[in-house]
Amino acid sequence: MLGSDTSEESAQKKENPLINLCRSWASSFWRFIRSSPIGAFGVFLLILLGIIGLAPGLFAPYDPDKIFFDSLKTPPDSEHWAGTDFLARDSLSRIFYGARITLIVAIISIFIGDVLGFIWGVATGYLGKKFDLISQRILDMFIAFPTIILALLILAALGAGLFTIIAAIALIRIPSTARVIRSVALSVKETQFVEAASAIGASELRVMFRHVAPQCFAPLLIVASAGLGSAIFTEAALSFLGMGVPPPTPTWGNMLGGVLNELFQPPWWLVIFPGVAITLTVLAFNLFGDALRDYLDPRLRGRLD
Amino acid sequence: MGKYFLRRLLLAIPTIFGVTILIFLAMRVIPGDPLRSIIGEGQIYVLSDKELADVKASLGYDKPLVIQYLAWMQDVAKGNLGYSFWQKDKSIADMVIRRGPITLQISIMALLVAWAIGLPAGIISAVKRNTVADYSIRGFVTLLMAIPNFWLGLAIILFTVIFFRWRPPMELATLWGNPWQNLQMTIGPAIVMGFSFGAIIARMVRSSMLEILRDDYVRTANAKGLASSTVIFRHALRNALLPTITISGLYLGATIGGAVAVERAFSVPGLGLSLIYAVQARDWTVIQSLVLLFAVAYIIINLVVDYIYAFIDPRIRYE
Repeated sequence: MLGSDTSEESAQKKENPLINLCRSWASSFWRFIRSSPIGAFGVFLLILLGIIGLAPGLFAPYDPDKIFFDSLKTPPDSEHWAGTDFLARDSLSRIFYGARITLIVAIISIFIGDVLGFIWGVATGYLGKKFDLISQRILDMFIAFPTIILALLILAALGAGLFTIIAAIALIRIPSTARVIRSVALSVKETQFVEAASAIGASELRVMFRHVAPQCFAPLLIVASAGLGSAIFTEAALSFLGMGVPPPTPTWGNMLGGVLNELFQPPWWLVIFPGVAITLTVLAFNLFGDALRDYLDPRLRGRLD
Repeated sequence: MGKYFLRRLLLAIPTIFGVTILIFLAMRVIPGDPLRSIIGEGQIYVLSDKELADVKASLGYDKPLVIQYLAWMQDVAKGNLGYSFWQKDKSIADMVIRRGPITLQISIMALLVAWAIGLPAGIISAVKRNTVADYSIRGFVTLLMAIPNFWLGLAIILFTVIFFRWRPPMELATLWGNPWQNLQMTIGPAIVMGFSFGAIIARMVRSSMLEILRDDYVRTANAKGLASSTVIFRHALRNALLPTITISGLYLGATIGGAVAVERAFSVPGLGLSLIYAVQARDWTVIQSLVLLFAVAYIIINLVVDYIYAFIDPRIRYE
C-alpha cells in the first residue's frame, strides 16, 4: 500500500511540473517573508497598490474625469475625502486611477530597460575585447548625461506621452544595468564551469545564454527592484514638469504639476495627497528591494550602494 | 600619477564627441517641424512651403547634416552658443552667465547641507549600531529616500505661505548684488535637495563605517588604548569617506542640470528652469546648448572626482 502510494505521488510529481514549480516558488516566497518582516510590509503595500492599479474602479468613489460643478477646489469633506481639484474633479478618485499609470510606466519601462541592459551587459562582459571596448564607450556617452536631462532630451525629441515616457525611462536604465551585469558576467566568465562548457565545444552563444546569463539573474532582480522606485521618481518628476503623460489622464506627477499655477494660494489637499501616494509607493518598492537584496545575495550590498 | 591623469583625460574626449552627436541627432528628429509655425505678432503664423524654404536657407538648415554639425561645433568651440530660437535677441551665453551661478550655488549649498546632516547621522548610526538612535536614523533615512524632493519643496512653500504668508522670491538676485534676497531664494531648494542627498550619504557612511570598524587596524588602534573618538575620527572615518567623496562629486554634477524639478517647484530662475521652459516651447537652440552644457559639466566634474579619488587613494592609480 505504502509503496504504491509513494509511486503514485512521484508519478503525480512528474506529471505536474507546474504545480511543483508553484510549490517551490511559494516556499521561497514564504522564506523571504520570514527573513524580513519589513520587506513583507513592503510586499503587502505593493499587493495593495497592485490591486488598486488593476481595478481602480472598485475603490474610487467617482469617475476620475467627472466634474462636480458645485464644488470647485473644495477642501476634504465627507463627499470628497481628498477634496476636489481646480477643475472640480474628485481628488481621491484621481489618485486611485493615477496608481494605474504610475505602475504601468514603472514596471514596463524597468522591464524593457533592464532586459536590454541585461543582454548588453552579459554580451559585453562575456565577449570582451573590442566589443567590450566599443560598447563601454557608447555607455559612457549615455552615462555622461544626468539621467533626468537625458530623459528630457528624449522627450523633447519625441514629444510627451505614455509611450515616449516609457521609452525615455527605459533608455536611461540601460547603461546602469548593463554596467552592473557586465561586472557580474566578468567574474562568472572566469569560473571553471564556463571554461568546461567552452572546452567541450559549446558555441559562444550557448555558453553566454545557458551558462553565464543564469548566474547574472539574481543581480538583475536586485537591480530591477531597486530601479522601480527610481523609475517612479523619474516619472513623477517628468509628469510634474509637464513632460509626462498629458492631462486629463491622472498621474500623481501631473496632479502635482497642476498646483504650480496657483502657488500664491495653493490648496493644501492637492499638494499633500498625491505626494503621500508617491512616497508610500516608492517606500514599498525600496523596502521590498532592500529585503530582496539581502535575501538573494548579501555580498552584493557593497557593489550596488 | 601623470600617466593616469592623461589616460582619464583622453577617455573623456570621445565621450564629449559622442555626446555632441547624440544631442545633435535628437534635435533633428523633432517631429512637427518647429520651423513650420513661427510666432508672429501675438499669434501663431503658419509658414507656406516657399517661406519655410527661405527661413531654412537663412538658418543654414538646407545644408547636409554633416555640414550643419560641423558649423555647430565650430560655434561651440568659439564659445558662441547662439540665440533663442523664438526670441532672436536673447543670447544663450548671456542666459548661462546670468542664471548659471544660481544653479551652481544651490548645488553647492545642497551638498553642504547633505554633509552636515548625513555625516553625523551615518557615524552615529554605525557606532551606536542596533540602538534606538540607529533605528530611528535608519527609519528616517528610509523615509527620506522615498520622498520626491520636488514634492518636499512644494510642501515647504505651502507651509510658509499658509503659516507665514511668505514665499521665496522669484526674481533673480545674485549672491554679490543682493545677498539677502539671494539667500531667501536659494535656501529652500538647497535644504530640500540637501535632505534627500543627506539620506543617501548617511546610508553610505553607515555601511562603509561598519565594514571598516571590523578591520584589523581599527582593532589594533582600540587595543593600544586610543580614545574611541580618536579611533573613529582619525582612523575609521578617513577611509569611510572615500566612497562618500565619489558619490558627492557625481551628485554635484547631476544636480547642476538635474535639479529641474526642484527649481520648478520653487520657481528659482536657474538654468534648470530655463531648460524646462525651452523644452515646453520647443526652443531647440536653447535645449541643445543647455543639454550640452550640463553634459560637459557632468563629464568634467566626474573627471575631477576621479583625480581627487586617485590622489587620496593611491591604489586606484596602479590598477
